[in-house]
Amino acid sequence: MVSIKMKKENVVNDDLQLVERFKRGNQSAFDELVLSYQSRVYYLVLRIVGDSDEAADIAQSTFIKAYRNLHNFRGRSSFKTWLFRIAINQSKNYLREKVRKERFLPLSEDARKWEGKLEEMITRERSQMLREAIAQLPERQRLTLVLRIYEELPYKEIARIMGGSTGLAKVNYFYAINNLRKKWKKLNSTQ
Amino acid sequence: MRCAKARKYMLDMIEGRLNPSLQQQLKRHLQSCPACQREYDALRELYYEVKGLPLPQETEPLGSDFLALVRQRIRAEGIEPAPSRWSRWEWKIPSLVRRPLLAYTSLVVVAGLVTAGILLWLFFFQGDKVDLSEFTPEEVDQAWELITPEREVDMELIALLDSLSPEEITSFSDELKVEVEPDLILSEVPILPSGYLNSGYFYDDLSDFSSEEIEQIVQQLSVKESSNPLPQKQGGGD
Repeated sequence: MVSIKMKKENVVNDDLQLVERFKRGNQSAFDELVLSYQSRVYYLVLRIVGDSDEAADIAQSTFIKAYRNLHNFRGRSSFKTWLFRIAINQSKNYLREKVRKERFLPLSEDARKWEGKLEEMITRERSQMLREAIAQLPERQRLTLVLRIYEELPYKEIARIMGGSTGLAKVNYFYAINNLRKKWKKLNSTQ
Repeated sequence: MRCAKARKYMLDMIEGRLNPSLQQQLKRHLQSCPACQREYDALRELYYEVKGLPLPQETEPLGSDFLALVRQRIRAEGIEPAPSRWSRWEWKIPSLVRRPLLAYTSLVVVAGLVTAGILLWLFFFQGDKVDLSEFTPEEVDQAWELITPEREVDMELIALLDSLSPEEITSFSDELKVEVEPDLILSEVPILPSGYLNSGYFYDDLSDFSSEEIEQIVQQLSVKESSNPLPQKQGGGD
């Protein structure tokens, strides 16, 4: 546990050093930050918006916004927290602005693709249903769930990204799980 | 360990974030309580189902061209890093030196505003000391409501208080020199997990307590209870 903690602290310090180098005009420091975080930001956004092209675009916008505002980053949170907050806000803006007719790929396309593979089709349909149940959660609960389960962030960090207190992050996570359980139970019983 | 407390720790246990002592207590409880064991199994199944959910679309990992695309957009859109707030002031200070009249006028205006602010503060807030003894307890409560910072919702405290009887909550309150109010924010917390708010008691802003500290408090209370038995909460047994 101690070594994991030390490793985390090293990453945070490395990030802060890169930020300082960038502030002093070293452009390659920004490139290093992009390379370090591009995948995490991309997969986080993909979990939220559900579309790989859009996710890549939003991930790019996230880094562009970070590039523009990095001089105002004071290091009160870690760089990762700051970057995730931008990514979450960009994703929220995207979801709010664009009314999407279909959240996910039409099942019929998948069905053709998986024709003859009944087991895999069932698994795929089950995943689709669960994903839809998550998509129906209120925005704050859904984002908290993604940050907690897929990013494995502590409540304190989630609170910094989402705004609000640590207690509120915890409550949102409990709500999300509880709501999801109800929806999931209902979906399973109607199958 | 009681059921309400066991349910509070289930998610932490599934996530592997529960300390060994509480893990042992929870395991013992699950062995003796089939209802909680079912709840735990269902929660665990759901957690891993969500955790193992494939990405929404099959996708290739981002390659090195991602950085090139970011750089390209930065160039194409002519984006420059915004100067920090401080450096913006650094830029403005020399321009004020070049225009001394503007600088002096600004200085006089700022000094005047500061002086007026101090005088107003002294006049309104330092003139008469408020004597709280003149207020009724209800008026003090109302005043306190106005100055209390935003309420913190703390699941650990909700679960803890839910597992205590009203009498235990009162002694808990005395112990910590804080107030626990009945039915404080029930309307603001519409969909809490079932069972957590049965007691109808809630306390705000104790989120700084760690689970170990809360454990200690509960132990202190149970010592107190054994030396001075309190009436049991109605229907509170699990």
